[in-house]
Amino acid sequence: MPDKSDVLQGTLDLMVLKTLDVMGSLHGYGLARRIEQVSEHALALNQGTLYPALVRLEQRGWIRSAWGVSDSGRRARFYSLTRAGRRQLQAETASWRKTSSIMARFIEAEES
Amino acid sequence: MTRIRLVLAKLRALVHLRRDDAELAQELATHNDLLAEDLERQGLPPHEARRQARLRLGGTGQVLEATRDQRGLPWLELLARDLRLAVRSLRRSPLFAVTAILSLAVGVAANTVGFGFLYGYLIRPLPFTDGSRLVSVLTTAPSRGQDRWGVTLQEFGELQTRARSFDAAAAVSVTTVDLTGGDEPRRLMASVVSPHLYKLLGIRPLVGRIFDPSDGRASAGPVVLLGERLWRTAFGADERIVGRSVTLSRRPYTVVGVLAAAPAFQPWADLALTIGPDELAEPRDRRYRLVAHLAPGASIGQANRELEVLSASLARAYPAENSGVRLFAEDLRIDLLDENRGPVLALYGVVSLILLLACANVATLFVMRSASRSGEFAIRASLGAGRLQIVRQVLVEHAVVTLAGGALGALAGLWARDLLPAAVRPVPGSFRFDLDAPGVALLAGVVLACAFLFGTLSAWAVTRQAFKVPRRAGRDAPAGPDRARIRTGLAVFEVATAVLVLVGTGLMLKGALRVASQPLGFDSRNVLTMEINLPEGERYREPARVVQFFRDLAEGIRALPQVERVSAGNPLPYIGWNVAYEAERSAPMPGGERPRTMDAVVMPGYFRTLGIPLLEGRDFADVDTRPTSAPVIVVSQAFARATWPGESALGRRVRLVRRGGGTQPWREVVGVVGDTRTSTFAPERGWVYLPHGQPAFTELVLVIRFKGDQAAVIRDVRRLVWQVEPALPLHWNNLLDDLIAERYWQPRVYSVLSFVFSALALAVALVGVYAVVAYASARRTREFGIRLAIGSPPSHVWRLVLRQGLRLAVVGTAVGMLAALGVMRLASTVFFGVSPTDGWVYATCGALAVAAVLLASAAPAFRAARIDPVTVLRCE
Repeated sequence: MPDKSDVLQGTLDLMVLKTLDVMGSLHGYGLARRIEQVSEHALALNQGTLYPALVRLEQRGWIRSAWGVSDSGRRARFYSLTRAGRRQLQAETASWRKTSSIMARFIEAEES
Repeated sequence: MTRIRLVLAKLRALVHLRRDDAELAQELATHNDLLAEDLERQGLPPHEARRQARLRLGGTGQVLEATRDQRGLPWLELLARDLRLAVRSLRRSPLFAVTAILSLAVGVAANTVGFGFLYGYLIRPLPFTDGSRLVSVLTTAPSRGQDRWGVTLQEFGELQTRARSFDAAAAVSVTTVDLTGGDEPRRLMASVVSPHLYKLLGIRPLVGRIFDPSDGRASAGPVVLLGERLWRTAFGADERIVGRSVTLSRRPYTVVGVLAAAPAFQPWADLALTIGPDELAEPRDRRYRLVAHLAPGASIGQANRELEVLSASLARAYPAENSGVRLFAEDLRIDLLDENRGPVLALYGVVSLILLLACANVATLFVMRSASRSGEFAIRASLGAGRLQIVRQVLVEHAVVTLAGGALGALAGLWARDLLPAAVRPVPGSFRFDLDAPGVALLAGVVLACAFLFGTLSAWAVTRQAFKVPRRAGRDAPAGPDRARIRTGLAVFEVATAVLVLVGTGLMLKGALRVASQPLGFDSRNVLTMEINLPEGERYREPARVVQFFRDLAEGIRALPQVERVSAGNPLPYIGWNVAYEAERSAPMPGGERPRTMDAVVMPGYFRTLGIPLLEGRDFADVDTRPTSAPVIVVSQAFARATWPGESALGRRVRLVRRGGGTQPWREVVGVVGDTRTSTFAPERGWVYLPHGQPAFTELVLVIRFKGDQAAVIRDVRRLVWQVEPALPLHWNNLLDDLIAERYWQPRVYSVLSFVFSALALAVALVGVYAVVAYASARRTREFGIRLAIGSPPSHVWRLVLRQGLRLAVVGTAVGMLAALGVMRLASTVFFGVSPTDGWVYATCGALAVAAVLLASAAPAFRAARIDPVTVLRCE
C-alpha cells in the first residue's frame, strides 16, 4: 500500500478540476474533504500539496478564486472552474481514460 | 499563450509577495478552523479539536514556502539572495572590492573610448546596399616600392570580363575641376566614377537621377552629379538645376541630379563626373581604385585567389606595366579608413589588451582573496554546499564587481570621450567618435563575456581548493601547486600583456615624436596665410595681368607697418602635390618608372618669407615671371641629391610631366633650397619650385610674416585687395602654425592616446602584480617570522620577496617582448617611420616594466621585513 499522501501531480490537478466541475465553487478545506471522501479516505491531502497545486492551476488560468464566506460564517477563499479549466478538464479526462484503459489491457494481458 | 500568462502571473506574484503570503496565511488559518470545527462536531472537546487539527495539518511555514516557490520564480529569489550575499561579502573586504572595481573600470573606460572610434570606422555596417559584401580592389607592387597602389582601367576591364568572384565592380578616381559662371569661381574636388557606382552602392539622388549606363559614352554629352553641399552653397538648393548646364574647367556639363551627402564614401567630393573619353584614352593610368560586390557564395579569400591568377596573366600579357603588380581585394571598410587605417587597427589591439588585462586582474584578485576565504568555503562545503553552489556564489560576486566596474568605466569613458577632443584640439572632421545603441550593446556584451570567462576561471580555481584539501577550517590550508601555477600564470600574463601594450604604444609615441621633432624646414611662426582666388574672365585671361595683380598686391602689403615680408605660393609647403619629371643626365629609375617629386608655384621672395634657406644659386626674380622669360626652376636639396648624386644641380635641366598638360618646357635649375616636410613625411625626392608667371596661377596663397596685431593685418590686406577687386571673396585666412597643427593631428592625437593607454595598462598590471606578490608574501608570514626569530636579518627577508617579484617581472617581460616582436612587425605601418624592432623602445619598455613590478613588490617586501616574530609565533 502506497503512502497515503502520495499523489501524482497530474492526477491531483485532474481531481481538483473534476471536483470543482461537479461541486461548482469550493474553498480549500472543502476541496480537501471532498477529494478524501470521493477517494474513500484512500487519499489524505496535505496542505503543502494542495495549496501549491491551487496556485499552479490559478496561474495557468484554469481556476479562479474569490474571497467569500463559508457555511459556518468564516472568511474563506472559494475556487471555481474557468472556461479554459473546463476545456483542460475534458482534455485530461480523455487522456487519462486512454492511459488507464491501456494500462488495464496491459495488466490483464500479462496476468492471463 | 498559457506560457505567457504563466510568466506574467509569476512576475506579478513576485511584486505582490507579501500580500500573497498574508492571504495564504489567512486561507490556511481558515482551513485549520474548518477542520477543527468538523472534529468538534465529531465529539472532540474544542481545545483538543484545535490541537488535532494543527497536528494533522503540520507546519504552516513549509506550506508557505512550497506555495511561494510555486507562485513566484524561485531562481530569481535565489539570485537576489546570492546578490545580497555577494554585496555583503564584498563590503567586508572593501579594499579588495574597490581595487577590483577600479581596475575593471579603467579597462572598460579605455574600451569605451577606443571602441567608440573603432565602432564608427570598422564595425558598423557601411550605409550602402549590402555593405558587408563590398570590397575594395587595389594593387600592390613591392618590387616597385608601392604598397597600396592604384588600378588601371585596362585591369578594371580584364577584371570585369574574367573575375567570377564579383558580380559588379566600379572604378573610382578623383580630380579637381574649376567651377565658373557663378558668382565666384571655385576649385572643386570631383569623384570620377564608373556610371553604375552609385547604383552599386545604393546611393540615391536627392533630386533628379543618378548616372545611368549611357552616361560617359562619347556619344552622350558630359554629365555631372552635384554633391548636396555644393548644391546648397553654390546653387541655393534650386531643384530646377537638373537639366541645366554648368561650366567645369571651361567645358559645359549637364546636371543630371544631386547626390545626398554620403559621409562614408569620398565625403569631401563636391561633385561627381563619369569616367569618359578623356579617361578611356589613358587606360594605363594607375589612378583608380575599384569598388566591387562579392558574388553570392564568394568570399574575400576566393576573390583574392582569383585576383592572383588574373594578376599573373596580366603580368605575362603586359610585362612593362604589370610585372610584379598584384591585384588584391579587402573589406571596403578597411580601405575607407585611409590614413587612419594603421592607427585605428593598432588602437583596437591596444584597448582589447587593456580589457584583457583588467579582466585578468579581477580574476587574480579573486584567486588571491579566496586564500583568506578558504576557511569559509571549507565550512560551507562541509555544511553541505555543493561545489556548484560555491562556484555560483563566486560568479555572482564576480558579476557584482563586473557590473559596478563596467558601469563606472562606461561613465568615465563617456566623460573622457568628451574631454579627449578638447585635449588634442584641433581635431579634424575625419576623427570620429560615435557609439550608438547597438555599439553600446556590443561593448557591454564583450565586457560581460570577458568577465564571465575570467570569472569562471577564478571560481574554478577557488573551489578546487575547498574541495580538494581535507575540510578543515584552518587559516593555513596549504596552497596546492595548481593554484600557485594559476596565480603565477596570471601575473606573468599581466606583465607580458602590459609589456606588449607598452612596446606598441612606445613605438607609436616615438614615431609621433620623431615626426614632431623633425624640422619642418621652414619657419611657421608669425606667418599669416590668405588665399586669393582671382575671378576667371576677360580681365585675368592674360597671364601678365595675373602676375601684375599679385606683384602690386605684394608691394602694397609690404608697405604696411606690421608686415616684415610677404610673398605667395601654391600649394603651401606642408601640402604635397605629386608630379612626375624627367631630368637631363640622370640615371633612370629601376623598372623604367618615372621619378616623382612635389611641385609648387611661388613668387619671388617666397623662400626668404618662409625662412627656407637658399643653399646655392639664386631666388626667382621679377625677370623670371614673364611668359617670355627663359624657363627656370628652383629645386630642393633632396631633389638635387636624388637626381644628380654627387654633382651640382645648378645649370642642369628638368622637365615636369603633367597629365594632359601638353608639352612642358625644359627648365634650367637656377637655385637649390632647403627641404621642407609634408604632414607626416619628408618627400624622398624633395620639391621643385616654378616661378609664378611660368605658369601664372589665378589662385595663390599669400604668406605674410608680420608682427603685432593679426586682426589689423587682415583688415589692411583686405582693404588693399578690395581696392583692386571689390567683389573678391576673402574667406580663408589663418596662421600658418594653426594650419600645420590641424594638418598634423594624427601623430598628435595618436601620441596622446598611446600615452594615456600605456599608462593605464601599466597601472592595471601593477595592481595585479602587487596582489600576487602581497598574497604570496602574506602566505609566508609564518616562515618569515621563524626566519627572523632564528636570526635572519630583515634585509634577507625583503630580498626574498623582491626576488619573487623580480622573477615575475623578468619572465613576464621576456614573454611580452617575444609577443611584441611578432605583433609589431604586422603593425609596422602605424609607427610613422620607426622600425618595429627599434631596440631603444624595447629596452626602455622592458626596464620600465621591471622597475614597475619591483615597485609593486616593494610594499609587501617592506611589510615582510617588519614582521614581528613574537606575534607571528604566538598566533599559532
